[in-house]
Amino acid sequence: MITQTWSAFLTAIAGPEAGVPNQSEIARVAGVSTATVSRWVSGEVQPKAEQVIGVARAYGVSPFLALVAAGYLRPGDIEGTLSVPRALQITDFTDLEIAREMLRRVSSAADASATSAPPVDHPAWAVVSGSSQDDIESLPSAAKSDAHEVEEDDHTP
Amino acid sequence: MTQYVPREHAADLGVPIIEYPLRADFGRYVPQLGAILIKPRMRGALERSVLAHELVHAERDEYETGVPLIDLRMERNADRVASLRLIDEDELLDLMRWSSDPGRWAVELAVTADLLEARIAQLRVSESDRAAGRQVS
Repeated sequence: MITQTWSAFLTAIAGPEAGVPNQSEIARVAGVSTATVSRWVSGEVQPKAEQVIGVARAYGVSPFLALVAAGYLRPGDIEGTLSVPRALQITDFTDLEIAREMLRRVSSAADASATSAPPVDHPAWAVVSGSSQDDIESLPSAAKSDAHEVEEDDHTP
Repeated sequence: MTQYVPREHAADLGVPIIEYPLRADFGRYVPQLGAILIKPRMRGALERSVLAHELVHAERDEYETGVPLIDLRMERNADRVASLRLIDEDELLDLMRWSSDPGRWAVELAVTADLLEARIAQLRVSESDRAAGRQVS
């Protein structure tokens, strides 16, 4: 089954466990504000085609499927050209399969936290080379997490 | 007024800027590395705002103390100094006369809403009154 709405698509790729999309995560990976994602989810604003493609690529999903969900393509335009990932066919799963998938994701998240940080090619990095991402992010630091980006499209004269 | 360019300032200070997939933050100054970590692929206004903020921490070799009041003051100060560097007062005042939309001011100034608000808070009282009640979104 191909997801027919952009909101349902976002839920399928970024929040199937909760039944609602993780808006802050989508905003982060897509490089847009959470307000924009919120308006996408509510249907108030239609995402631009390049944003649709960007979100799909960020989550490793075919942009064709995303473009169908966002209404840029019709399902018939892509039928037979690609297979739909099971992640987008949530209705085809039994409750048991969904529960197993949730367990798998929890396990993978635990494993991921122990993996090494992504390699960085910089002399300053030698101090922490080989450290895990958790270790890197727990170094004493002063961080900015509250920046609020303003969407140009929302403020065009 | 010469435009403030955070990356040039970082180069002058000898503070490396390293792109790193931070999970919860847009940017971090890490004293142990003597470097600023920033989230990759941020758009222009966001990146320059985050860098300007982190450069204030870098100049002071600051890091969070775990004491909420001290940390809050430190972050507010970084926003305050960064906003003064990024936003020229005359340019902001011109924009305020030209448009009534604070979001437009932020777009034109290529800064984030939080830094614009920090800058507005430092305007002269008469000008602050003009901006009062207009929320950046």
